[in-house]
Amino acid sequence: MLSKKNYERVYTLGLLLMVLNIIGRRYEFLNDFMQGLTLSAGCIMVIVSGILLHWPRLVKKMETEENDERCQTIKMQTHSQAFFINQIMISILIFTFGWFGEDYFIITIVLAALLAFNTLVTVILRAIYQRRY
Amino acid sequence: MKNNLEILRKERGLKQEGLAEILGVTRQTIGSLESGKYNPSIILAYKIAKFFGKTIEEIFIYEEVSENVK
Repeated sequence: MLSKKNYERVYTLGLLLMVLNIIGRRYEFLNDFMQGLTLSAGCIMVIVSGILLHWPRLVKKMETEENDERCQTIKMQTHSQAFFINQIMISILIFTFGWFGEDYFIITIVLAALLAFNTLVTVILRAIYQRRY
Repeated sequence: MKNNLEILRKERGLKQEGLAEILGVTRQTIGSLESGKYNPSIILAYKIAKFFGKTIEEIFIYEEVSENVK
């Protein structure tokens, strides 16, 4: 389950997508696909997060979990492990597409760039947190 | 780390849900603490000790485990 703050962010993002859709229709800078995407994604995000944020029992549970150190530890461990698995999967895909030949060259390059970017972000964040704590 | 949390809670006639609500944590966290699966931070240990009117050492018993003993 997402935290209350994250549901609020989803709600705001949904509203922004709907506003983008209205402006896009008015000034005709969105193609048909983007019009459908912004409208449907915006509506779903606003409706789902709006319902969840007005569900008192669920909001209380979200707030408790946000203040619960064990839940936070579990969340951090989960994200850390998922990120590690993600990095491994990207590495495997780089070798796989590299193996397929020149037709998939661009995918290999993009994935390698993504892996390098992820690693760079990790190193920067580590340096920041080492200074902070 | 062992603890007397379950005994103290039952002495007070509290359920895990009740204690969890007082401490602002989930019921699962109280369960994990009681079974010794999870060791609390100093802040949570202090909150628990304060609620039961005891010192942290009276509730949580630290056992130093020798690396040679398995």
